[in-house]
Amino acid sequence: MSQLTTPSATTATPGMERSLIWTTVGAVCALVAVTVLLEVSVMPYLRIADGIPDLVAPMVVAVAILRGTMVGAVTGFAAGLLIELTAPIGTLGAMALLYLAVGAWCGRHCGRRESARLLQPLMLSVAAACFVQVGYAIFHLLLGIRMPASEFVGRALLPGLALTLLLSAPVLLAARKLLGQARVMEPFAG
Amino acid sequence: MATQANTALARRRTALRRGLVTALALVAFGLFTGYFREGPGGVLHDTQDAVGGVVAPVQGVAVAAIEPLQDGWNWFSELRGARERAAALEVEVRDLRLQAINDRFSAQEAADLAALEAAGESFAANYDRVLASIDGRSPSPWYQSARIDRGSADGIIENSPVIGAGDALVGVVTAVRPHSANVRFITDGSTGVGAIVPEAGELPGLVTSPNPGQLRLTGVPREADIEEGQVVMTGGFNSGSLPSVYPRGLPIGVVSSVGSRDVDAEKAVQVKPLIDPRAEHHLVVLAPTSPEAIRRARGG
Repeated sequence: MSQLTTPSATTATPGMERSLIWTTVGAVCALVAVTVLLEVSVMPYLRIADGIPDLVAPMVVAVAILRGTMVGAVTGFAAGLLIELTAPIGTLGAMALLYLAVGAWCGRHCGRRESARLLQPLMLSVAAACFVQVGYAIFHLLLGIRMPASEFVGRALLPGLALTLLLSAPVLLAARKLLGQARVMEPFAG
Repeated sequence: MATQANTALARRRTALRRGLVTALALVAFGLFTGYFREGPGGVLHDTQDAVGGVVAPVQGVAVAAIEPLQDGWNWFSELRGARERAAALEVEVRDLRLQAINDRFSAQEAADLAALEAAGESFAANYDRVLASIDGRSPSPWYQSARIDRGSADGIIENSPVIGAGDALVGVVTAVRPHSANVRFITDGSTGVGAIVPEAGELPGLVTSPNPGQLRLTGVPREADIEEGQVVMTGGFNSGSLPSVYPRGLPIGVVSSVGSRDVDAEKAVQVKPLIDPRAEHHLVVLAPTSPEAIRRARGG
């Protein structure tokens, strides 16, 4: 990234911008690694019925609303791919595509006043987790693997979303602590 | 002039943003289709297995750390009422609780392992029994699968049957690395097991999982004398000409309901698995040793 758009701080020197970029890269890599590791090793044990909390959705949402569409999209893609590479599941690319969409869409909220509070990111996290679960279910329907809709919604989706809502706040706050205030990071900034 | 320059830069930024998102989406879609087109043993599957193998030890540590907490949580839940009555003895009770958690965890582990001690002994002529711990589970309800801490270094090969206490069939090994392996449970939606119900005359059927977590016995004619409570076992055969990867005589589950409509040619038989794989911490892998068992595992 050649330059950085900083809505709140327009007087940053090139040296400060480079430092910010590398800080962001390091923080995002750490967030992705820790969140994915927790998701594939600890979260399967925190289930209600078949519902498993989704820590990756709030992490991608947080990165996207703090750093914009491009960083959000790349983070979502990387996190989704990492889950599929490390967990014993039978797809590759499906979760990457779904979390990519989450990161790209949530990046539109970067820098907005309501994103600085906790309620909107929380709601976005639950909506993102819902989108990923439903999207993943559609992938499986396309592959011929079925699950009754009532069972999917009652035993997997709703309990999973409730757990995601409970665990999203710490993830969002940790991401804010690591990344600081919202700054859109994109090349060719004026 | 400045406004025009700003507009041009904004357009370039937007184009780059859209281009990046589109490119990543195409890569993800390419991976998804390539993964299913190449089949097991392809580059993407191998990469997935390799990365899974690298992460497995870290997951094992996380699982080992969380298991006592899980048991501790259950223990605290059961004693919620008693805690209130014991308020005056809080300090003493806390020490006892910590001790009891440790004891209970140890006792549970010992009971689990004792139950598995005899598992698979009757198949010793054709298989080695390899005791394995589960160190990773699927985070998705769509996959009833797990990763175990034993692999090809312990003699496990792909398609080795996996059993639990009482020889009950739990699943099959689907991918093997030197020190870890993936197990797909019989409750996974993509599993099929050739089965018989000995008490109903050994009519051949196929146990499938129509939905993840459930089992159904198909291919049983309406006139078959199947009743609730009868045990379903592996038949040692497959629906086609290939031998089944599972040896004959492993119990699968118990018939939980039987039904059929007048227009049906087959009975609708629901089967309750003898073991809920999601509750297990340890399993026994039957690693093939005899030529016949190896032939079964290799599908020929």
